[in-house]
Amino acid sequence: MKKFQLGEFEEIVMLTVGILYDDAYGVSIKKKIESRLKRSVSVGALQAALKRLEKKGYLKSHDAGATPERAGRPKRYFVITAYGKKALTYMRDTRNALWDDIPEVAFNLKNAGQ
Amino acid sequence: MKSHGPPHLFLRFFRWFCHPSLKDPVEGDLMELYLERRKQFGRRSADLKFALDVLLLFRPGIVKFPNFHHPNTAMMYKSYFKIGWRNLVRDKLYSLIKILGLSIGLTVCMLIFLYSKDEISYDQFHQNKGRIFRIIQHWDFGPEQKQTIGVTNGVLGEAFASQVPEVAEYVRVNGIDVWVKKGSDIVHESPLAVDSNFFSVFTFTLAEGDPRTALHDLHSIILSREVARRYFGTDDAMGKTMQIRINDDLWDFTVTGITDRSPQNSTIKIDMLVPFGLYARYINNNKGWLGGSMNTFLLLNPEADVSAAERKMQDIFDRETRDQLAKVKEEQGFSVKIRLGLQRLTDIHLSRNPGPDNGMADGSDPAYSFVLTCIAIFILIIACINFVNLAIAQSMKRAREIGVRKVIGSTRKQLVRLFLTESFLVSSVSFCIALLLTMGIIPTFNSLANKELDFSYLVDGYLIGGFLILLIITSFTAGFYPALVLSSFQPVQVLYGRYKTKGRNLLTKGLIVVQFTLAMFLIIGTIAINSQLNFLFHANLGYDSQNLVRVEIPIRNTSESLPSLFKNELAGRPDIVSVAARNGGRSISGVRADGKMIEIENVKIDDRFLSTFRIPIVSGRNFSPDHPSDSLHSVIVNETFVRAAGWKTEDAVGRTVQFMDEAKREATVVGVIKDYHFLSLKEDIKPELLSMNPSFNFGEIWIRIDGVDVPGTLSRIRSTFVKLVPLFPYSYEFMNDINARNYESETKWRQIITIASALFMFISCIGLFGLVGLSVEHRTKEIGIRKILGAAISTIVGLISKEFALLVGVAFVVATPAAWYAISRWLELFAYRIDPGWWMFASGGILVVAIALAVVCMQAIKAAVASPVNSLKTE
Repeated sequence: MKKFQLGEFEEIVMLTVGILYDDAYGVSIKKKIESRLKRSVSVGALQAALKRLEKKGYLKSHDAGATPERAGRPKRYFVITAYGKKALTYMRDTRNALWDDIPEVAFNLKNAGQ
Repeated sequence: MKSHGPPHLFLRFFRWFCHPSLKDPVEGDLMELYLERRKQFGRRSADLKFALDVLLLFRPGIVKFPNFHHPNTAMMYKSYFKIGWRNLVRDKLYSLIKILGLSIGLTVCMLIFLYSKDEISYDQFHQNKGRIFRIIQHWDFGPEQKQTIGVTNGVLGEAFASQVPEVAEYVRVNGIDVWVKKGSDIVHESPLAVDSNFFSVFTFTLAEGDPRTALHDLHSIILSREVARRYFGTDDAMGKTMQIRINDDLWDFTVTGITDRSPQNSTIKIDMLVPFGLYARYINNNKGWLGGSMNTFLLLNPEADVSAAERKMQDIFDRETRDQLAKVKEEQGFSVKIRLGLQRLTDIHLSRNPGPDNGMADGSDPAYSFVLTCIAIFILIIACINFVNLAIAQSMKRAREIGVRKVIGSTRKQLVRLFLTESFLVSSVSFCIALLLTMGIIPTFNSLANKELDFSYLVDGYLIGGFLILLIITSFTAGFYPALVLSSFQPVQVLYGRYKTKGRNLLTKGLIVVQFTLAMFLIIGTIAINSQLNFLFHANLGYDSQNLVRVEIPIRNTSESLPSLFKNELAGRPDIVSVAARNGGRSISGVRADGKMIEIENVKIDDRFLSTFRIPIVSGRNFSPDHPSDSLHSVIVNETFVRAAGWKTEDAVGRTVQFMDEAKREATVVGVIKDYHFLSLKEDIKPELLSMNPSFNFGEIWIRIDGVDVPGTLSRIRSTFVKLVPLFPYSYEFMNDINARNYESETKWRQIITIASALFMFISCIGLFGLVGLSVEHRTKEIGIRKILGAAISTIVGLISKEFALLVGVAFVVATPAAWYAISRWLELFAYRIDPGWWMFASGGILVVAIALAVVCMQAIKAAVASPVNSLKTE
């Protein structure tokens, strides 16, 4: 049984929130992912993911910074919670452990199949 | 502004579906992105991407789902019903007024629904209803002389069925007059002569017999069960024979089919059907293309183009009639254009021009449906007005309740629901009463409306649906405004008792004015219709219409000698004053007088006609046996003719007129009579030419009786008739009855308008009664104090009545011009009419004001005579 529920896109979103630190809100997260990963992200997908993560307790949010460009609507900033950090660390650790256990020869693709 | 923002529609959509917790920040994101993209890629692309974003946002997790969780709605509705019921029971009088008004309104609506349903259902039961058409003819004699007739000659159907590809079949349907032998009696019947394919075109079934072959034999006859029972005492009449006389021939007919009663919503009613083939021998005009005497129905092919068929028919018709029309123009000096048309079978019932005739039955004026529907809707509206007015006036009583409800936490929505529930309750009760009333009234309504409606008619999906919609609409119209007003009370104000209904008063007043305007309009209309009908029934017709009996005689070779036989037979009896003869029906032709063409009523009379009718001769003399040449060479004209010819009454005698027939016969005017109204007063008196021309048949015998022993005299006339004209049915009619029949539709309108105005007045008055009652209740203390300070009862009555009387007065001012306009338009239908006099409006106004004042005073006096002690000690 999985200890932490975290999908691939969710993990990317969380990491990006981490990168952006105190400037992580909808548009900035979207742009960051798009520029770093060269993939397009729809507002809908992003918001759905953010909402899911917040519900799971990995992220928390606060509203601030309404500007005229936003027609007076506030930005919803996200930060990673301690629990979220644990989840990220767990993901990384399990993955690293898996990486570490891959024998050198398995990546030697030239010999593969011989 | 709009051009700066993203697509409005999508933004609205987003706002609508987005979960509230996400709405603001996400919308901010969207706006930010939008502005950026616009700078970068331009407006179109930004718009597109915005729309796409919004659509992609429409996903679970972001969409808000409606909250279905209303824990105690059912409980609340239960409570609403309970409170509503208690309120109804507490104010019994006001509830009664509301329910009574609404029940009447709903009853009228239901009846009209039934009526209209019946009207539009006519002839819809035929399987081929979309394909059956009647040939009609539009005759155009020039400007303002147009006529449309529904009859054609027999040859048209045959020709079109064979030459026009769109036409599949034709059926001729014509009502004819025959005499059936029943034992020793001769009974007049009007069977339909129809072609043998009648049953394959129209959807009528035979209870017995084969519809395909039943009319093949020329001496076969089909009877309805009722008729069969009448003649044979049993409806098992197949194969039996009956003797029937058509014109002067007696034939044996064999019964080859029995039908059930025809649907009541059919314009073709089957009592007796005879083959057209036999009847065709008796009509000499069957070969000609011009004119007409029967209904010709065409069954078009499925999906045939109606206008194409009409065009092809017209081409054939023009080709066939060209020579004949040219001849008519040459000989008679007038030209006519005839255009053929196709009239749907299902349109015939509600059509006036031409309607169902020549054997078809049940014509109806669509104006009835229209006016009745309007009346029903208005009655319902004024009943709803009662509800609204009373509910608002009662609101003062309930202001506290509403205040407390609001303080406890009732939302406005809940209060609206409460009041709508109450109005629904009242409407439902009224609805049930209305259903019962409708059941009870249907027989009376049937006789009024000439219908055979049955309550079982109500059991119909559409009608039940219609009634339910009616119920819902009524509850909403009646309950919605009060609900809005009452639920808007501010609790602080009403609980302090500071609340005043200022603006609402204006609305109440307006609605009262509307009610009484409608009532007054109708009452003035009733007075006008009554006085016009009075005028028609009592107008001086130019002759003495009392004790004048008409007996129809058969038009035969013998008819010329019949009148004198009658005269001899009846001579010397003291109860017969005189006997005269006239042609039957109307005959219109033209004569030339001093080179002028005059269209005339061509009347054939005998020398006793003028004296029997007591029509005065202005100059000259009557026809007389002393002048043998009178029968061919003398005519008498009326004053209108003299005027039309441009003569003077004094010098008219001795002048000549020339007939427009082929012989161009000339005749001398020997006398001038005063104008008289032989026809309805709706028509102008036409130039009339009376002659004794022997080539023109008598059709009616007119007998003036002394009127002492009417039944005895009539039976003597009857026995004389039976002796002189055997084998011909006897029928008589009094001139006064004939005249009254001319105004049948006016009499019907009078009934409708009278009933409607009584209902309007009644509903308006009970509403007013309730309102005054409530206003008195509010002012109980004020009245008590006034009385203590010495106000007289009359002062207090005046105080209360004043404002209501004023409203009725305003209604009078509004109603009068409208009524004047409507009455004037209606009176234009009559050539002879009264002028809409001021007294109509005055008496109508006084009547309404008097009734309204009586209603108001009833309440006011009750309040004024009450002891102030009682009103002041209660708190």
